[in-house]
Amino acid sequence: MSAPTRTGLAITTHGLVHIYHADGHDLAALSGVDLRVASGEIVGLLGPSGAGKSTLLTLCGGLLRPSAGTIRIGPNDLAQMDESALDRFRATEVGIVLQGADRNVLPYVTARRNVDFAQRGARQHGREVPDASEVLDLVGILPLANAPLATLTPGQLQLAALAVGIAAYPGVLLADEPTSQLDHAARDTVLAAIREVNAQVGTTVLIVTHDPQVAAALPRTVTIRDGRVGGEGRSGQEYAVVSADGSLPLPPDALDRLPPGTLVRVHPESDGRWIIIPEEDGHGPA
Amino acid sequence: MTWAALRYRPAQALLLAVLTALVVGCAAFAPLYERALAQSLLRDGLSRMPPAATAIELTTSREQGARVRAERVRDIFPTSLAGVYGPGVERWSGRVFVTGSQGVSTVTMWGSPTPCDGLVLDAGRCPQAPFEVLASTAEARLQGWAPGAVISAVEARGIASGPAFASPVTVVGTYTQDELSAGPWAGLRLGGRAGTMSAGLAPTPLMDALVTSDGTFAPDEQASSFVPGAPGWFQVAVSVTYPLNRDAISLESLDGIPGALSALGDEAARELPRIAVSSAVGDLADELAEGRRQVLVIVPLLMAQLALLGVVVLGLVAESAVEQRRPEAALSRLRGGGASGARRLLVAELGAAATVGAPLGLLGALGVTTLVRARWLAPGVPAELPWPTFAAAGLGLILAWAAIIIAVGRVVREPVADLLRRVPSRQRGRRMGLVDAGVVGVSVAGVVALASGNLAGPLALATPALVALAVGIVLAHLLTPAATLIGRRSLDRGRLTATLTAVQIARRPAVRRIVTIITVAAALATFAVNALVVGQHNRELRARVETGAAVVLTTDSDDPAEVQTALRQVDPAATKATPVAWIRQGSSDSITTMAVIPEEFARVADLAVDPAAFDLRPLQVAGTLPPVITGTRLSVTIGSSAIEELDEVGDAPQRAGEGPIFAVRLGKPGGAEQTLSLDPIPLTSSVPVVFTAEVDCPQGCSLLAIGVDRVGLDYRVLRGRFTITELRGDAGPPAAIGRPDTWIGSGDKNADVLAPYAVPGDLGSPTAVALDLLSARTGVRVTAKGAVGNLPAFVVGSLPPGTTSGGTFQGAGLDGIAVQFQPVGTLPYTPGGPSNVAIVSLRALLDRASTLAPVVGRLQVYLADSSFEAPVRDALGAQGISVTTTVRESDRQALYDGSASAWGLRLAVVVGLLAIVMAALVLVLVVTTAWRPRSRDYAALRMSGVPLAVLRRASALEQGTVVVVAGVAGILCGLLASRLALPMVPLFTRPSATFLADLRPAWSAVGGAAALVLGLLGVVAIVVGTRLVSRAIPARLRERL
Repeated sequence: MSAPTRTGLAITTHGLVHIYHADGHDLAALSGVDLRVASGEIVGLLGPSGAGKSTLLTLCGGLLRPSAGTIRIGPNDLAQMDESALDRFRATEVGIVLQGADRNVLPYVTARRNVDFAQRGARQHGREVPDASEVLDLVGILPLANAPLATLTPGQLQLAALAVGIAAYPGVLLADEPTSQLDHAARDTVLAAIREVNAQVGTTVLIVTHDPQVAAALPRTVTIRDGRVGGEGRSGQEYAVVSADGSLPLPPDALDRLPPGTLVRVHPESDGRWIIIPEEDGHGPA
Repeated sequence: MTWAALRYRPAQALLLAVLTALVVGCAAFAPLYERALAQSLLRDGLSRMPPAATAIELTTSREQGARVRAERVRDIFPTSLAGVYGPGVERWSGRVFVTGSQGVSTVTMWGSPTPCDGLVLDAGRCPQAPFEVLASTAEARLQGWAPGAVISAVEARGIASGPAFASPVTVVGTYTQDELSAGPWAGLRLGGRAGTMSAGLAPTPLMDALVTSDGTFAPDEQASSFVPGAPGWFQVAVSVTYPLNRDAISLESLDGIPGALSALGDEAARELPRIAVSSAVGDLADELAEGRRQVLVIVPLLMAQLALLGVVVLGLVAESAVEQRRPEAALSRLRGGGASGARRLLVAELGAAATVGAPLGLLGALGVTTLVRARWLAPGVPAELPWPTFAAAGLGLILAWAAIIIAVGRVVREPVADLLRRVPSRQRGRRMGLVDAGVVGVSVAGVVALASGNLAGPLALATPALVALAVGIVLAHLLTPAATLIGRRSLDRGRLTATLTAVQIARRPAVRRIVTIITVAAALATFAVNALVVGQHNRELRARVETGAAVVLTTDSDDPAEVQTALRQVDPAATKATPVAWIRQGSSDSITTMAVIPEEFARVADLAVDPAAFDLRPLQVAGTLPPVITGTRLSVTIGSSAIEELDEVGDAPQRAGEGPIFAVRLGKPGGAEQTLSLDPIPLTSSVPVVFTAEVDCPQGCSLLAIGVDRVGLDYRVLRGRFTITELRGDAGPPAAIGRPDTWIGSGDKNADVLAPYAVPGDLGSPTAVALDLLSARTGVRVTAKGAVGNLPAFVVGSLPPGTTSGGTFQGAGLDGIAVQFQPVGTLPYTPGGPSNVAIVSLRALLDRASTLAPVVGRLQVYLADSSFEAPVRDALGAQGISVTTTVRESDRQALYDGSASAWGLRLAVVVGLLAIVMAALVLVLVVTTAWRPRSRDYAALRMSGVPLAVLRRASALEQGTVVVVAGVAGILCGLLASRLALPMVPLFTRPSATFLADLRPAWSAVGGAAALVLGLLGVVAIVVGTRLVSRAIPARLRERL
């Protein structure tokens, strides 16, 4: 591989809040998200529609400004960066794959020229970029480098979008639903490509997905619920995550048993476990 | 990548290229057309001017003893004109008395270095030595001169004392002048006089010119001084005529001629003898300059507005294109290219498409200019490419790029997240953007300034388009909320088609663009067509007003009766031809007399403007001539008198017993008047008393008034009657004073108060009259009707200086002698004449004189129909009457139709058509660029059960409603623009003193333009609307790209 060695960038958010204005109201898309993604890690973002996953992704890409809290991608504090710094950041440090493969490419040029186009910003900022053929080979579509995009299958088009996203071998790859509307084979191909990119380039990957099978294939998942981190999954195990303010979001089945307002006692056990003991009548003051 | 992007959306690229080509073409066409038009004006002007008019003639004659030398004349001709003027043609002249068979004639002897050029030598040879001459063949035959004959020629000069220079001349040949335009005799009629007599009271025999060599007038043959008896010519003249080289003259060289002529004139005036410079080429230069000035108004007026429309359309097309490229701009921003990178990406693509159009536009402009040269302009206009063409084309391209850059700049600065939205957020409500508000503000200010006359120049020329732009913008902003309201109400009432139509209009941002553009295009088309037709109408009207009839023949006759006789031979009913006499007076501010036969004139003349005003019946009232006395001694017989003295209260009467003084006022030929106070009338007498007085009336004097005068401090009131039984001059019969209705009295005899009066009384005799009077301190008189405004006249223009307090004024009769005119009305203009004219009855003038005075009089024939010209000419010729000039309405109109203004306004056709084409293009473009989402909308409506027929109606109505609303607004704007801007449009190269332009809208043309705009755009709208619905298939709903 002739490309320069890269290492992924860590993603850290603390108390991240994003409020937007719609229909005359202010709505909080994120209500204090604490997230840590280690350098080179692959993390999936799960959660119901409207939970704030795409918003979080967009914030990580510097496309939106947080209303409160901090967000750091490697050494970059995104909230403190001006527009030109964000342009440089997007050109060199982060790659974004939008939902819908066609939205990531210029429809009138080939995959190779799309990769070239995506690398322009990095070149202008003095960053050494890999050859477009290498990038396309990394994602597995080098033979289709010069084919018109309209002739590619949906899976191949998604790989082309992925290639564009990693064109400058960024430290972070943000992918929004990269396997949506793909059949199983294509989905697996895309996931394999993402893993290959992570392995070869070291890029930290943050993927938004609705697909539980995709989530299951990822080493770590973070569930966003109501604008906050609701849980994590690691190696097939689901965990609730204690947030910075000490609150502990319960998993949905536990929440069914312990609805909001339920009085519980949190009791430590001698073996280091903590037991949650609900009160008999189960409810606090009305 | 740019090329790939262009190939991806070829239709848009083509449209941008076409629109840019239109903008560039409009810009480039203006200087091309201006130049071609100037060349055409030059050629047309040259074709109308005979060679003699465009030549420069330098003339000098002997002055203060200095001999005339042709070399001196040639020396001062400027070398700067040598390129456009040919070598000078020399021509000498002197006047001699020659005794012929009919008496002594004054003959002009013409000399030239090449005397036989332009002549046909019928006998003998060409003169070579001095005082060898050619005589005309007709003259030689008449005089019996054969080649070799020696004739005596004595110089005809004004100095009476002493012998004149005389030299025998030898006739060496005879000539006939074949062409008036050839050789040294160009423009000179050498013959045509043999056997004729001069006009005037003492006619003399005329003789054709003698032609000789220049040696006859050489300086050695000129007298050394003006001392009587000195040998040689006393008075000769030489002219050197430089003909214009019409093949070498250009616009640039013509511009330099007036200045060179002026300098030449100054130098010529310093020479001794002085040299006179004459040429009409300066008029051509002035006319051309004025024509070019007018073109600089008209062409930009039309083309700038079209270009403005093109830029607006291009801007809106660019906006639409940029909207479609939001995802690409987002991608560029997403990949770190920043706003500048996104701008470069989009501008490169759209700008490339526009740039491709620029050379096409230039070629198009060249092509249209070529077509225009071939079809509209004078023949021979060269194909030229003036440098301003490229500058204008460059400006057009810059404007196109500017429109694109502005459209792109607005989008690429948006936040990336907004660019990434699948459905861009739409501005709702009626908020007007800053640019729109600025345009509206500038337009309103421009209209106010233009209407108040405070605006001129380029901005004034663009105001019509700005007006329409402002109205279109405001209408576009009002249409959305109006459509929303209508949609809601229709929904409440369950009207599906109306609801769909209104809602579609309300929710489409493209509607604003379409409304604006159609408004401007309709306004432009309306304005252009109206300007064209109004211009044409006014040219026709002016030609008709200035000519006065279909054909006007000027004759060499001085006898109106003779002309009338000739006309009645071919037009007994006097419905096709009528004589008109013109008599002018000496001073420039005096009024010209136009004498017509009223009832014939009303039938024959072309009363193009306000014909109802030309009711000339008041002229038919026969004028009454005042009585005339002839002789050197006036005698008045007072037959009887009965006058009483009435005292003033309180005062003793003075001059008691003495009657009032008999007085007359006489009018002499030439207009002078004289008041004579004769003797006191006896207060009471039954015995005739005769008064006499010396008068100067050998040719006859008019008796203008009779009455009484009072002398001294005589305060008596005298009342009574006296009779005049005879009043005569000693050389003529008694004056016809007997009819009381030929006198105008003063005062009221039957009044209750003692107020002066003088009233004639009937004595039953044609030569006797009674006078009832009351005189208090001052005289009273009755005035002859023939003296007071005897000749009724219609006045065109203002009354002349010297108009009396009673409104009468002096005009010229047929013989040039003054006649009193009484205005009976005014007329708006003189058909075929100047503005300061008194129109009177020819018959009334013929009562006073039978022939026209020479020099000041001119007799014309007005013809109602040009097809009648030949028979009238023949009839006049049969009476020995020649036609000297002919003026035809068709020729005059052709002259105006060949003016800079006419050619400039013809552009209106092109402008109007292109404006409509642009609007139609926009309609098609806006729908086709958004056809996918629109057809998806309609597919969704079909899926939800809306019938196809309803969708078709709604879609067609949606497009059609916008077209009608915007089109009608545009047409009204076009009419408003016409009112504001047409006064700025020069309709003629030279203003008219008599013709007032009619700038009222040409309603038929406006109606036609309206029908074309609404019809064509309506059809396009309906077709695109229904085609859109035909693509509304349910499968469309699954499309993503």
